[in-house]
Amino acid sequence: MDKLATGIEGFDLISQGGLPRGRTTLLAGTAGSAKTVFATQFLAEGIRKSNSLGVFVTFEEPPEDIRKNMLSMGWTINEWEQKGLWRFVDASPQTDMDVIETGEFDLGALLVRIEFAVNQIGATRVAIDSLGAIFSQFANAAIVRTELRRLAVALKGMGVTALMTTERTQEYGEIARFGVEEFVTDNVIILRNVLEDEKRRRTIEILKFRGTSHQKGEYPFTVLPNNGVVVIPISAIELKQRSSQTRVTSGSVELDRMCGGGFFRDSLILVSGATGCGKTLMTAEFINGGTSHGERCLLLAYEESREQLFRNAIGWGIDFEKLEQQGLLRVVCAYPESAGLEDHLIRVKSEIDQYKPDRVAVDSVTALERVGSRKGFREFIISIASFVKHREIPGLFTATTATLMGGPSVTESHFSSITDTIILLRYVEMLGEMRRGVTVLKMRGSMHEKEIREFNIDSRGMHIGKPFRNVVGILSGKPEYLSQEETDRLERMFQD
Amino acid sequence: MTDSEVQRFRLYVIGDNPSSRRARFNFEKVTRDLFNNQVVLEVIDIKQNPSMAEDNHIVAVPTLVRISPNPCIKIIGDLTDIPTLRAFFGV
Repeated sequence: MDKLATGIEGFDLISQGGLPRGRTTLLAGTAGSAKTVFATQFLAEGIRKSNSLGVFVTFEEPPEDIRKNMLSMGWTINEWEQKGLWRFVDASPQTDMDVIETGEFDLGALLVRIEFAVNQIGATRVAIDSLGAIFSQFANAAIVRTELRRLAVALKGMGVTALMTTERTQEYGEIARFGVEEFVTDNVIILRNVLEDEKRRRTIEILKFRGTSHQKGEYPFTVLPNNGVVVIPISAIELKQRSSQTRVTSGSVELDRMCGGGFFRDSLILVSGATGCGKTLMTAEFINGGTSHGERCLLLAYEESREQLFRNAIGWGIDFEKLEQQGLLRVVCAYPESAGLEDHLIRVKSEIDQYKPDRVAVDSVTALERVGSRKGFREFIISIASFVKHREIPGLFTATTATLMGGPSVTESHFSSITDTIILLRYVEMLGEMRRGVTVLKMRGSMHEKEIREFNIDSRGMHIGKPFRNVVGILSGKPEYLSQEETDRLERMFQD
Repeated sequence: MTDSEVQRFRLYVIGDNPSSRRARFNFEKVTRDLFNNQVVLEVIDIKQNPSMAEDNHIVAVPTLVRISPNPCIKIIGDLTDIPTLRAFFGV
């Protein structure tokens, strides 16, 4: 079946092309689930992106309210009306007039008005908001139900693609109130606004599109000023990236050597370690390595303020401020709690889209763990990784382990399967001293060193030294010092 | 109510079907008794004049609207329930 691309970001991806063309789709959701925004956006994107005109039938809010409310989304309905691109059919309740019902009636007038508006401007899209509100305008629900069925048939006859919104009382339960799904059965979309771990999480689910395919399940979305609904198409993102053999520097000659000649140009690198063991430094080196080759770098920092970050970098001999002035670096510092995960994600995406960096670093992803639910965080990580991967640029992400001596983190368990390279930074307690160790745990498609090397930090940055020869149990967090004799014996064990 | 005060009504219908005929019949019956024919009725076929329906927010047919005197009143339906109608007009 033919589909009509709505122009709503992400939605066309999960619906595999948009709404079924020439059909009516039911959009059901609880109060505050962004039904009106979605319905308005369906028309707005039609006007802005594909020059298709729209008729908005309102049973609930008066047109004046809709015009005003939607201005914050950047939709200039008033202007579109003057240009004849948008028409309202106002069937909102009239508060200034007494209305009584006596005897039989039908909603023929509404049908005539919709048809008239559609024909007058040549509309191809119709939004109807909301069916629940028309039921509350009339005492006789049976007539309304019959008439809405007639409306659905009439819309089909007009050849328009229509979206009807309707109320639900529960997030998980019957599709809609008043049994409206009985006459708009073919295509159903559900918007949800669920409270999960004390956080609001909006999702959209295409329940059914008769006779055509779509992605299944719930997808998170957010409502942004000047954008409206933005659907985050987590698993619908296609993994069709090319794989590059080109190497780029990690910013450290020694680390490049450990990785068999540097990172691959389109790879995702996860740097994991306890707090204070050098993750931010490695991030700074990664950026320095990029800018020294004239690459544009984007740094997204969620743990430290701009001042802190810049001061620390100076301490390692890297001048972020100067790099920013040269246009080679953009540092975006955000406090994790300042927004929901979806909003952070959209922000990251738009930064990447606008700045068009040659490499991206995120320090640290773990800081965002506390902002959303576990599920939301998992989706966040997968999406952010996909955005970076799609650009075919290297992305370095840091993750903080929960314990000082290592062990896995939530970030790691979500991330490790989609990352190409994993670098572990670990504290090593040796003879009453805390030392630092680094190892390349995994590097997809390349030889890499297996040793755990010691590294030091000084005013010129990071220095990777010799492997820890006489120590075992570093990664498990219980390092043990072995005598030279024992080391020799162990080495002989693996010789033929 | 003085005799000089003329009641003005508008009846919105679609075409000449049984429900619009019923509405006209019932309307005349009630108003003849009540207002001694001091009424003006304008019948509007919204199929012919859809913008009239748009301007006056007509959703259902038949719909009877009292335009003057104030306040404006909207009565939806074929007006078969005469006692309700009479009660509404204050009789």
